[in-house]
Amino acid sequence: MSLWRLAIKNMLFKPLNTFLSILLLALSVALISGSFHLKKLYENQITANILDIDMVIGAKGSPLQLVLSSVLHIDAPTGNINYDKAKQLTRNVYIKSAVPISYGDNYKGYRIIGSTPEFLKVYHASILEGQLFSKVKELVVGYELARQLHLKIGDKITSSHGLTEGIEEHDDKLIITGILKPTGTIIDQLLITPLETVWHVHEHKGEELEAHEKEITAMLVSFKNPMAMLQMPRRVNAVPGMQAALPKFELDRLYGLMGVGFKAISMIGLAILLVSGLSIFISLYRVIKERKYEIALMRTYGASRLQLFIIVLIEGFLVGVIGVLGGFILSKLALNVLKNYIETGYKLNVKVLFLLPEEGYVILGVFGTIILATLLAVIPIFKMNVSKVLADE
Amino acid sequence: MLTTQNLSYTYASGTALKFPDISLEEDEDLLILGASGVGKTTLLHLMGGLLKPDSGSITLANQGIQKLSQRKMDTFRGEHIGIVFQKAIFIQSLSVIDNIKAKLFFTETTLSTEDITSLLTTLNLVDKKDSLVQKLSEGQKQRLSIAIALSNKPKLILADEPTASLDDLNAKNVITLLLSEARKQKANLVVITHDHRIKEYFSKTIEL
Repeated sequence: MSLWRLAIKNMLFKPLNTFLSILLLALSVALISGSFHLKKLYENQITANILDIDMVIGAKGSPLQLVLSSVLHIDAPTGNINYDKAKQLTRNVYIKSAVPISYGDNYKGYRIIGSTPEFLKVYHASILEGQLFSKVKELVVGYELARQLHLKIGDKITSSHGLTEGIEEHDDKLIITGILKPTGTIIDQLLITPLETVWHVHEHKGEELEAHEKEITAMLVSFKNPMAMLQMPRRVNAVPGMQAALPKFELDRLYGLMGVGFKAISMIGLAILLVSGLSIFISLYRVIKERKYEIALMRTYGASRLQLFIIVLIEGFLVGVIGVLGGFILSKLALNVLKNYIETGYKLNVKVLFLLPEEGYVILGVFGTIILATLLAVIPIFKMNVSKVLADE
Repeated sequence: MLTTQNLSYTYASGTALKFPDISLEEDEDLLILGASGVGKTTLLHLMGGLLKPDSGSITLANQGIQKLSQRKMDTFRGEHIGIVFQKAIFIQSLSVIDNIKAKLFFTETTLSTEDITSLLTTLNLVDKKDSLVQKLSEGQKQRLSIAIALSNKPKLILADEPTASLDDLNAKNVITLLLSEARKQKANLVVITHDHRIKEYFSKTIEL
């Protein structure tokens, strides 16, 4: 016999009470830790993808839409801009690099980006196997995409018009020449081809475009010095039909909106944690009331009040441990479902981290709550008049 | 060896009780008879150290127990006093044998499994040793609480109305069992009751 055995026997004696306490606790832990993970996922996604992009030049419209479409590749583009004009704008001392991108087509819902080899540098990507495209109608494929669609070097694919799957197929075949190393950024899910491919596919009946007619969707710009942040947007916005959007600013704004959501989830989690603390308190308190005769009995056996307190504490502790573990497992399961949904729905690749440092606070919070609930629940043990309890029955 | 002198106790309501002195030699037993409400249970709780007397002294195993602190009293009681309550109380979540083991754990006594089994055999409970206590009949419960009280070989066995809810035959069985086990363990048995049926088994009787 030991205090542990007594505590475990007590828990198993009232399995429904125990189960309810654990369930509530697990639910609150899952919500709180889940919201931390979501927040982290979101932040990682953003910081990884805007790493080297200080400004985006694109067609007039919503700046947020421009950033979402040309940086995170999840929204429709705002329109096209003239390539020559964009090049002129970015040919000055403030600019470290300016990478044109052009949309037009997709392959099975994944975007085909027309760009230059510099596009790879923006995402710190390099070739895993094969080689970079060298002429029109050649493609390199992001790592995740190649894996998911089982694409190999030398495969010929047919692109579809627009950004959604299967609307209208082009006759021209594109050939895969290389596969990229995984980067953890959006490029893992893209197909990249020279700008000329996009233009070529959309040329009317074989007529070549004049240089001044060539259009791109956006220009991804990286600055040499922060002064450009003040100068460049103004200069771009002065050009008719063009706008400059700052990804960091736009995504911070978006985060401000999403942040309310994350906060709401953790608040709900916190509320459930309070309820679960209350439920643990009530269930321990009720059990202690029910067990008052046997508690008095153990006192007559010579059990100290401290020993009896430890029994209750162990019960609370075990509920806490199982609840926290259950909650973590629950949140991981939910996040993985969400991950699959995001990956297939938004073509983003998402990495669910195993444990976050913030989850340490969750554990602290849970055990703080349990210790408080236990301390309140055992007050009757400390105030118990053994003689009175035994004479009353 | 149990002696009490000039014991008195005052309830919260103000009612004061004075108890007659008791003096028991090593193999003497005592029956305390009294109608309801004369303070029988109070006297038993005083002797068991569950209550502190207002005045007077209780000496058991050469220790004046009224002087002990609460914590020391708990330990002392665990070691030297076994109590059989009127209505048997157990740790509900434990089996018969685990209830005995819990008593041994808290009194820091070791008893071999054979000794526990032989105790249960004496009390005719051995085939119930793994059942939950709530599955026992009233008679079995009464015998189990005797087994628990005896298990750590205390110097004093206090029994509060052990026969009140039993028929003549069972009352006789329980009382002879208590007496013979007390003798075997060289303990003093003090029975407190209003049940005159068991008077004949005791040579020493006090009426409250």
